[in-house]
Amino acid sequence: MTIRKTASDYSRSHEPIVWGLFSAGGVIVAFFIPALILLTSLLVQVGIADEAVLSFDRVQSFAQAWWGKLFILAVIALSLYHTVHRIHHGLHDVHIHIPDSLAIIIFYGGATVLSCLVFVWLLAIGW
Amino acid sequence: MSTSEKTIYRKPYVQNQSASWWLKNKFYIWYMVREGTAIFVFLYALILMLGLLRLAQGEAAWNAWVASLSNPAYIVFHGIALIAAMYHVHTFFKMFPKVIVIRFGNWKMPESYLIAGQWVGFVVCTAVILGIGLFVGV
Repeated sequence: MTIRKTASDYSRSHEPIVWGLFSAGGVIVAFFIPALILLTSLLVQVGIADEAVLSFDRVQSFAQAWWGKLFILAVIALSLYHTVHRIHHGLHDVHIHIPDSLAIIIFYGGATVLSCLVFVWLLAIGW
Repeated sequence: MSTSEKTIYRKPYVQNQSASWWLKNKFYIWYMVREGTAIFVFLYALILMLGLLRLAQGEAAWNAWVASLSNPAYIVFHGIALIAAMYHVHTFFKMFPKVIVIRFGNWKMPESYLIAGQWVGFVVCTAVILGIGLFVGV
């Protein structure tokens, strides 16, 4: 087998951009996600915290504040970029090979679409 | 052919590797566990997104979403997701000193200081989020 390559076959890597989002997401996941899992999904449900913690009025007023919106968008969007990057490379590790151009659309495109949805829903919640 | 184009003729050697290569060694298994934690965090992010949508849809939708989280299957999932997230924390903090080296003159900050510093940051962040989340305005 002989492979013929020309200079135009070598393109700039997208890796620095996605690695930046991946790292920022890694920080967000490390510092915020464990506390958030406890807060949204465990402490109230197992009866340690009061149900009022997750009351509609309280969470709505949090999501209506600009800093609340920023927090929600940053946590969800960066967690998505971080995790799709790992899942993308993890699939490669277990020998599920998706062509790079398609993988970029599926994983990073998918994370971008989902982040846009978060943005739209945050606007829908109002101020 | 223009000068910017080079023709490369090569016969790549392709080493056969089985898809279960990572099961053969403890180090590789833990590597895959670390990568696997992303699946749980990804699913949790989707659950948060669903909650945000329900919040936008109004009080009845939100209350139904909160009630659904009490389903035992959800509680078990979030328990596993918490463990997965904590393993991510452990590995992420251990990785940081390999990426960032802090020097003052000839003195290089030991990795253990940087790891300990991040854990202090983790405790503070967690305490602030839980403090505000559980107590402010409840």
